[in-house]
Amino acid sequence: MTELDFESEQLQLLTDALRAGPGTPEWRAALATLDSIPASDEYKALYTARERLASGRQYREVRAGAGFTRKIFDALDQESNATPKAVPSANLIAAISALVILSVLAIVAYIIIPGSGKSTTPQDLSQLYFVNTLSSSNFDGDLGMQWAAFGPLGVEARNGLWPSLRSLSENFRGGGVFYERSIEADQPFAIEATVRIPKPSDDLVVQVFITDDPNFIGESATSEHELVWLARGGEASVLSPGGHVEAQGIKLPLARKSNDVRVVVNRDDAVVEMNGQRIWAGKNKLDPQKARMAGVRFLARGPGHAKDPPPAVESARVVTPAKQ
Amino acid sequence: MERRAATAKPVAAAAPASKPTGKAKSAAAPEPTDLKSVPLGKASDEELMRRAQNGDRQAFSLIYERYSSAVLSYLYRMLGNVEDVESIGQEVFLRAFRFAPTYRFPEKLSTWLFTITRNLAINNARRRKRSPVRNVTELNLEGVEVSGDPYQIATQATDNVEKQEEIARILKAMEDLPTDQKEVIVLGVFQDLSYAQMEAITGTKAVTLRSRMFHGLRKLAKMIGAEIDVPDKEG
Repeated sequence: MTELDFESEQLQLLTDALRAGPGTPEWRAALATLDSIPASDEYKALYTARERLASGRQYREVRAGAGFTRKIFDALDQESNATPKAVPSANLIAAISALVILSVLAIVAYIIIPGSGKSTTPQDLSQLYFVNTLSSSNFDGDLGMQWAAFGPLGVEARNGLWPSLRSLSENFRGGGVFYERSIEADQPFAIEATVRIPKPSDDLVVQVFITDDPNFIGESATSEHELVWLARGGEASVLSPGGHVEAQGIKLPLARKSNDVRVVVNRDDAVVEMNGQRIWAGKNKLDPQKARMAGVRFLARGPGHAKDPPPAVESARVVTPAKQ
Repeated sequence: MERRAATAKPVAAAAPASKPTGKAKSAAAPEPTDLKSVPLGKASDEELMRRAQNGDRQAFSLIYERYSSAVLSYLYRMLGNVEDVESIGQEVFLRAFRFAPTYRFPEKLSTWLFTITRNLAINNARRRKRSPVRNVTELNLEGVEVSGDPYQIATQATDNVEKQEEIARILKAMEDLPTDQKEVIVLGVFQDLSYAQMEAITGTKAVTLRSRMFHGLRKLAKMIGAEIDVPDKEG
């Protein structure tokens, strides 16, 4: 028996037709080649099934009624009332003009007055006390409020967050949880996670990340722009957006059962700490205009790990500094 | 998965900044410079979303109008539980409103919205045990209309009794498909999403999605007595 090659032209034509359905150009193109291929009778059966499915397109179709719609928009009104409303454009222009004038004056003052104004540095970031907890979870039985799972690699919340190591392939598969609320770029915050790695492996990776692009794509369920602490093969590393290695080769203390990881950011800077020690500080390279989101992720590959004790995230929380 | 050359230990984790092949991109539509020039009702979904990002509630209302049925229908077809459909459906649109700033033009709005919908459906399935599928008449839901009887659908589609039977059998058989095959059929056939969009939403490569489509329909074909000898890899 030969395996089916779904990258072949013939099967691409067939599966395009099966998706598009009767009456479409893809359908006609596929049917035109049907008699010239082997196993055409079997494929005809697929087309028949697809035709029946097309006839049942309205199956389990749901339309929102007035009551459902009213609930949604009442909830949206509540959300809108809780947040600042949009400013009319004329007022916005006036406000922006005033800000520009004030900014110019501030710059002049900065230049004229010595010692005025300071840009933030990672050192400043590490001096902040993060005491306000936005959300926290021990992943004991459920993900917790405001944490959502993502990615093709399943995770379980059972006395900590664990990746599912069943059905792994030779390619990395990723999945994890993220804190569902985005945080404005100007708001300093930290994600703190306690990570347990019972058996270091190159095939099992755990990450703590902050991103300005929460579209987790591909088998690895990564986004295009992340600041990441990761542990792999008994060592920790820090990657900045674009996959640049900022720090690597930091040995994980194997005597410790758990490692406390902390990734702190403000608009421009970042500090990464592990077990209370700073392992890296610098520019976070995130988009200063975009809100950020934080989470933890596992990456796993290789079918031989089904029985290994996997890495786990015992807890995670997102915190902000005390108001000054 | 997107992997960069793993010359050093930490590397194989982050996707490269270029070539997000998992992401569906529409054909290069120029970013509109004047959103007000197009009447709201004729604006594309993506333009509506940009207006909504600027605080245009009417634009968001129109997005809701265009997508509410698609979102709720996807949830019902995947979860089979009308209660969950209502609660998750509400959450989808609340999140679309709340996370509107994270939408990036010109990504297809359907891709973005169905990603939110799917993630919520997955979270829901993990959080609670699945309730048995209930007859709609048992529930006292306000304002959600559903069409759940395969035989009723079949009789509306054709007068041919034999075809009615085949249609009903195939629709019922969808419930027994593996979740990944059912999802591809729901998204590709019922929601008319392309393989590229499905790839972006599910994080699964298009070639795998095509395989699932093929094998899912193969199983459905068996329901109407088709003899299939094509090798079954997915089972």
